[in-house]
Amino acid sequence: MTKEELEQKQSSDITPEVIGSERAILERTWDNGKGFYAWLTDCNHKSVGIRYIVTAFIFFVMSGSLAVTMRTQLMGPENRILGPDMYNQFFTTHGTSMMFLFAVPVMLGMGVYLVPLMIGTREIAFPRMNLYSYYLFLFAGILLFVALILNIGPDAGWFAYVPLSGPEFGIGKRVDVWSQVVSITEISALAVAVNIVVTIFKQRAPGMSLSRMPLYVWSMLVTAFMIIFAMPAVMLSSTLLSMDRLSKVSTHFFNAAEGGDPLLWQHLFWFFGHPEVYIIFLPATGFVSMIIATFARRRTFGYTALVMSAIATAFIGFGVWVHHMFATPLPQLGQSIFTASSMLIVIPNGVQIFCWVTTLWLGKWNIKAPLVWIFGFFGIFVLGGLTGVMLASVPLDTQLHDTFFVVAHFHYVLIGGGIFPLFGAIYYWFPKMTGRMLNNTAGVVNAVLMFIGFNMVFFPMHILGLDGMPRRVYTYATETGWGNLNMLATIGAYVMAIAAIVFVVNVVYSFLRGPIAGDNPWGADTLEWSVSSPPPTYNYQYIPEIEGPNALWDMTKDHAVVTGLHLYSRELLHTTIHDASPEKRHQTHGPSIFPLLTAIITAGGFITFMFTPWSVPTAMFLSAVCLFGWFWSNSTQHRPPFASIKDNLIYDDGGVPREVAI
Amino acid sequence: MSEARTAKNVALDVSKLPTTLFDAHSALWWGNALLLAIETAMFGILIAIYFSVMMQTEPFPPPRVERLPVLYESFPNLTLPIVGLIVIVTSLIPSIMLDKSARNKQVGMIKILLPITLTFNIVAIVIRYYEFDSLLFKWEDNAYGSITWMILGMHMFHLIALACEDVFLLAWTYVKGVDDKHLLDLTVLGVYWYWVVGVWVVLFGIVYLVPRFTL
Repeated sequence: MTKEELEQKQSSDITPEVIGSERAILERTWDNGKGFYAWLTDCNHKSVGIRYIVTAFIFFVMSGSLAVTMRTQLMGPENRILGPDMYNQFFTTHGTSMMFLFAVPVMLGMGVYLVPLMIGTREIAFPRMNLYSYYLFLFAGILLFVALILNIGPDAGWFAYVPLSGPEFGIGKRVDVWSQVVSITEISALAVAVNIVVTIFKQRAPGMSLSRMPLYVWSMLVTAFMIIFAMPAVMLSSTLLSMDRLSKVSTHFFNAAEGGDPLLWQHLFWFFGHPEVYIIFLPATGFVSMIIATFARRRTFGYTALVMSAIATAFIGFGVWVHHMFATPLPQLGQSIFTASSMLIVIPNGVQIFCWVTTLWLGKWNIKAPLVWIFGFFGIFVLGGLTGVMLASVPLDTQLHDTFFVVAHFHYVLIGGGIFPLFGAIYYWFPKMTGRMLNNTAGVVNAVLMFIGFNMVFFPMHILGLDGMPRRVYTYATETGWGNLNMLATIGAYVMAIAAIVFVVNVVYSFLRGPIAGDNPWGADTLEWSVSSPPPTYNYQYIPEIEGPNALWDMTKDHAVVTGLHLYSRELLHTTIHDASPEKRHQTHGPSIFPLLTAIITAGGFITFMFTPWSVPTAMFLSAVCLFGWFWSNSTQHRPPFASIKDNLIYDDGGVPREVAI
Repeated sequence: MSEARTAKNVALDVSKLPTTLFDAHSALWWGNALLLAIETAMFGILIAIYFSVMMQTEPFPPPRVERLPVLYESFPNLTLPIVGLIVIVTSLIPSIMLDKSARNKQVGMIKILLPITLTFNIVAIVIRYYEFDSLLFKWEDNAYGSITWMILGMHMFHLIALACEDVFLLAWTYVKGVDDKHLLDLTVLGVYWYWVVGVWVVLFGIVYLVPRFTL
């Protein structure tokens, strides 16, 4: 059907009364109900997104307090607050939780909330799978922290190198907890990634061709593809590790004595582990692009260059993993190749930085808290990038391997490149999510405290690392002379903790008492700012046609809007992948209990696999039963009965087929 | 703004668009394709592990000393695996026919073909169950045994998942009849089926032929 045929001037019969009554019907159709059961089964992308974000921040606070405790232990030489065994559990849980339970899920949660709104659709592609992924993530987090409380927290480091984590040295169930937490969270991340790709491919508002997609949506698309190709490696390797460890299975994948290879573990882990950094960083670049465009009040400079940089980063990101393994006996040629590719990845990142700086340079600044966080991002991330270039060089890396220099480097990259833009994004989108503004002054204080505290913690670690202080030691001798810098770092950790408290207080207070935000408090350009704050369950009553890369700034007064979507069922508009021209209507699904049941069975299967291999067939059987119910209930929502029809026939409400031209 | 639609807005009426389209026009097809991309990555890594074990094992496969009789030439047996391969590849015939009849909305054919594909599927699963013995090693004997069992097992997992989907669509078709949504499901099942067959052809070559034909 051509666009001209679709666009019919029929506006004369649309009166405010019609709009109002249609809205009332939509409210009812998309209502998820009230009460505890409705809360458990609510799979709307906005509820799930917010739950992801809130849960991830709770894990952030928990693993942050582990970090503060570790810093307290290290504040002076020969301290005895944490013993060596507890310290091992603390740093492993801190790393595992920050990576698998905070950084990745919070970025995915933001994507789950924002992507459907930003591309102008009413729901994510597979809402029930989305809810399933959330519950898996939640159960994995509970498993990790309950294990820590029970003194069976993992203790072999967040990358769990064999043989330390293998059956011979990793006694007890500690490493099993780690490997099951990883497997469960990765299933969850993979499910979200598939969801995001399909949503972006099929559900963009008419007219939002690929070249008009907001940069944040681009960054989430690239991230989702990276997840799809990176996460299987860690899921598989953590499963293999748990099979090696389970005494009734006892495979030999990483057992050198039986033809296995401990180095294989490092390859598999880092083949995931390095792309993981970009899985955290790329969504953050999306935040940076959005925030800078809004607060520099101009179009982002170098749209194409930014998109290409994101894609280039993703590709090169899969070819650098060996730089984590320079201290292993690898062929020199291989090391040189990975040095080259590690340095190569600086180019797309540099292009991004220059595009943002140019946007700021050409813009008229509106300095608000989100922009202040982005300034912090520039300073810290660039420094982290520079130490990254240093570590890409083999001789320097061999010297600095496993020292605090590395700890400093990756915290600069991850906190600078991931967390600062994330906090900026929370200050930026909080009004949309809750309908209330966060306090701006507190936001600036928060950002400045975080910046100062961060540099106090991690800058001294560069010097400590150069001085030879190894990472992952619970204490050090007085004669080393490392006491003063460690004390400085510990004070910085408390400054960061105060910054986090300012944030929590600001969020809680503003959620209850903050000024009402209105639809578009920042004068921003993306589509989500055109609907009320918080948005209605169905997001858009009339999906607008997009007329340029900056949806709202380019929108003309009499722009076209989509009409004719079903009012009495949860219907979405599917558009073509490249041009986003309307293609079909698609009925999506509402609340269901099956995602929760299936998640309980999946997580239960993984957790019991720590003890018996029979959990696999049991969980497979039970989840097959559950999925049967899930699909059956999905299917019954599709009412049209069958009649022998041809390809281009569809059904009216009464089940009467009619012909359409496609 | 979009919420406050004014009388000036041009209406883009989509009410006459279809509700079900096949292949890349549908979200389900894409969801399935991406899940298969994940699984392909998974098998890619398993293959990488296989060759990594091969590089460390001399001779390859290693002599079987873990159990009696001791074997110095421990190439996997080929008889049952070849039968299994034939069954799996032949299952393409009914599954392609099923795909075609879903596109042509031939309900009678669908009702005949679903049990046939399911039969092929179950036979393939049973053969796979006995096929593990052809490897001559147990998973716990050495790394070679571990990886070959893992490859066969992971693929068997997909055969079972395929059978479950088949059972679901069979039940739905016989209980509720066929509708547009489930015609799409049948074609997506077809994609999964072709993938399971295609992956096995590659894996068969690696597990059963590579050890015999390497120097």
